[in-house]
Amino acid sequence: MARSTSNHTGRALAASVRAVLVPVVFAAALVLSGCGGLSRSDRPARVEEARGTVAAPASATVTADTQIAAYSPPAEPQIARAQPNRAVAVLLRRAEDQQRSGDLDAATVSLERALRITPDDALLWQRLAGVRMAQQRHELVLQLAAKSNALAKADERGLRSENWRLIAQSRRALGDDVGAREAERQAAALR
Amino acid sequence: MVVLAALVVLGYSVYLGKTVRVKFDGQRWAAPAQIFARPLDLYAGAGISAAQLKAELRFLGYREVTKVSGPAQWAQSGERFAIHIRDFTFWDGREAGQSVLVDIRGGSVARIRGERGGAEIDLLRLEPALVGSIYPAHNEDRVLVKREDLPDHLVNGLLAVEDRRFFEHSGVDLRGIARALLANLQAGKAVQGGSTLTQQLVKNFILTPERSLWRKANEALMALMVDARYSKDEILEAYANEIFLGQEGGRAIHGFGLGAYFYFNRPLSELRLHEAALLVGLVKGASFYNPRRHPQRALERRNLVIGQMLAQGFIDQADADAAIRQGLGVTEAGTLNSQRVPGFVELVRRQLRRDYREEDLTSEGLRIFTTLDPWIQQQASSALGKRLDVIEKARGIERGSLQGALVVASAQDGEVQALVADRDPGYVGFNRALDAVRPIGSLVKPAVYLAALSRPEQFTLSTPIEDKPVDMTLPGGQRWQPQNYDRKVHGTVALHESLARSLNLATVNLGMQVGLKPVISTLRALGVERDIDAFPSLLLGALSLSPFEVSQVYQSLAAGGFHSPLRAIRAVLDTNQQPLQRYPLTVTQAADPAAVFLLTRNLVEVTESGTAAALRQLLPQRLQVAGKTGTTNDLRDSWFAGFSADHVAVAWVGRDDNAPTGLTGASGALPVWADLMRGIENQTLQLAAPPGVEYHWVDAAGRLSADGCAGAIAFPYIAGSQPKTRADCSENEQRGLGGLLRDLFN
Repeated sequence: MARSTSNHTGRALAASVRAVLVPVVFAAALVLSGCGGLSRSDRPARVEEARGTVAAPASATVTADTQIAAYSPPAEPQIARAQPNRAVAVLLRRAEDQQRSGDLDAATVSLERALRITPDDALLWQRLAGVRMAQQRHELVLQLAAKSNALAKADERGLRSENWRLIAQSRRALGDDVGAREAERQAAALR
Repeated sequence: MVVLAALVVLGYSVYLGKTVRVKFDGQRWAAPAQIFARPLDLYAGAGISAAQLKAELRFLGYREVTKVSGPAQWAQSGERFAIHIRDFTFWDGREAGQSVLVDIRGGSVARIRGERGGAEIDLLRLEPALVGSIYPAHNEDRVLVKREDLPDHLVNGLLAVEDRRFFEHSGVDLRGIARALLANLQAGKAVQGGSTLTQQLVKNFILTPERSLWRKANEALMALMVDARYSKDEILEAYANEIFLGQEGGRAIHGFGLGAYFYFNRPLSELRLHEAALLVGLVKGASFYNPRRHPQRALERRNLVIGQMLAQGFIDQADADAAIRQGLGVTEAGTLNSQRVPGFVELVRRQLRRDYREEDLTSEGLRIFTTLDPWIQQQASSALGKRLDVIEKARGIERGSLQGALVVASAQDGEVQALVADRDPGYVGFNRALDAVRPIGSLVKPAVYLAALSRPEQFTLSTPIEDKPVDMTLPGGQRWQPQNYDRKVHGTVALHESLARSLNLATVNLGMQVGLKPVISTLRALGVERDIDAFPSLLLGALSLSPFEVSQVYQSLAAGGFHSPLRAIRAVLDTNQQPLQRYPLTVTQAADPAAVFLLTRNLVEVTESGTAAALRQLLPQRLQVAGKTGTTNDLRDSWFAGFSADHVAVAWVGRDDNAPTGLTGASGALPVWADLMRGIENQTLQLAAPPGVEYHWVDAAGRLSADGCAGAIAFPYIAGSQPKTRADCSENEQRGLGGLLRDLFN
């Protein structure tokens, strides 16, 4: 992203007008024609990141300040690439079968392989925590579940609740009853 | 007297017999550990370009053919690859080879199917390439083979050229000796040897290379003993594993198993007639007939072997003609598979040393499955070598005076994917990636800012901090007056700006506010194990680490604050392919993910508009990365550390004598890093805010403002830490899209 205004504007527009600004400008125009001024609540352009969290507004790309660019999400979409969902699904199923038949080491291997394919998949980290739980590796369960929580989307409440349940169970096994109750409370709040 | 003589002979025979047994039985099992790269997972969506897939197939020694007809072959038409994958035993079981069609589109795998209209395949893997071994101190390297692994061509060639009555004689071949003697007399010089394979084995195995009648007699006696004690197949197997076939630096290539890899980069069982004949030809003199150094000589020798095989009826005329038409087919020295990753292998060795004795590694035939990505290793190695050449040329630096190191790991799980220890990839010696312990300069700063941002009630990205002169007395009594790189004082700056511009004075002031202890515990949590002195100069990088250690710190950041010990090994199997040990994935939370997220945003700013803005010209525009430059006093060390969504990498450039290089982090290590990242598949940093982080618009003075206000920036804050005062930005100050639109529509 460029730093000089004119350059910047031109490039950013070229990059994102098609995808983002045109519909957004139109929507904003409708909003604006209905009300007088701008306030925080009806900011004209808000690009939703994949995770559904609040992201920097696209209007940042047409202001003069160069720093804004640094804090906005990438303007261009990534090259479309087939999602590796099926490969991961194969490994998830395999890990489940292995865990069911008691081969926990093999389940770990399958999940680690899946994580190499999609390392930011919160569910995979949770499954790994689950296998470690079956192995009574409680310290590791706490960490893996925390990692899963850090990657989980805000609206993945069930997933996050399950992570807290795993954390509660491990804390209890490690003798941390207070911590376990707190984690159970978190788990319940997300259900 | 006679009795005494008989006793002496008897005693001596017993002694020789014992020597034979000890050497023969002992030697047969001394097998170096074999080191494998990672296997390549193939699935729809895998980021693998056609160029990378081709390189991988070459690493594996697959033959490129027009039509695939057997294992280890591949054919390409456009972006479609037909591949017949080899059988392989992985740490999680054996996988049968199969013939598949792989479609690549635009740099990633689009689809995989079984051959001939087969079903779609969701996931499969190419077996890992053999990239090295851990061989004993006397430098004999080998890949052990069994008798049944020896191809017929090889055995027939040996018989034809070296010992045609091998299966008939009893260790010594009197007829052979007579024939050789006659031939030599006729020629007036030694043209034929009468030594049997057994005698040659005994000679290599047991005796010194002196030439004397006494030795000849010993050799013959021992050959008879070996023949009496062991079967022909056992002798053949021992011979095949013992024979000397070449030299590479200090490493001696022994046995046909390793010879096949060394010269052809493929397993012995896959050698064709002309290739097996070349190996047989080398028996007579591996350096004299060295096919890489003396190709013409080697070719003649090979063709002589083929001729002998024809003459003795092992092959027919058509086979012989076809074989003789073939080129030598040896790989270039210096390909990845001939021990060209000494730096990485050294890391593997050190990590193994925690769990295995040295003699187990060099003799037990362990199979070690590592995390090395040969493609990334190749790109990294070439990035360092080529870029240093360019820098030296462009800046008039003495050629070859710069050195460097590069470490690449997967961001989320800390697997070491590449390690370059020298600008010359084959150099075996000082391992700069592991052992060049140098001051890290500004690479330490992210730890200072992370310690600050971990206290959201006190510090946020927009918190104003003072870039003002620093004058302190260090614990040793030394006065410390650091300066900014531009030797200016910048007054009040926002915290994020200070890191983006790598301001020294602001950083020291911030660090002293935070306190040295929290900075040190942050460094510890991120993975620094070395002693850290609690001096204020720590805040500007008075801490010496190796590139590998720095990689560990940045891995923890790249993984969102979750530290995984950098691993080079996934699993170890014993010589019977049974799993001995696995090195599993572990994580430890090192910092609050929300604080790490803010820091990462700031490190992206470094690469967008800060000290590493030069990256924008060097990387694809859509690739967002985070990173930090580092430069040490008098420009002795040039560092760059950073990460994309999937790789964390650290580059160091400097001189072995620690003299100034004239390079900053941005002019030395940064372009090396960029060349590497451009050469490998990277996913852009997505920067998804973790729960508990929200965005707020803030003006230049650090007050909450509306998004249309001049100079307002949207910053991420840990919830509740956003500024409390609100800016009063009047309507006519509003610019940006909002103002623009109002102008348009009002």
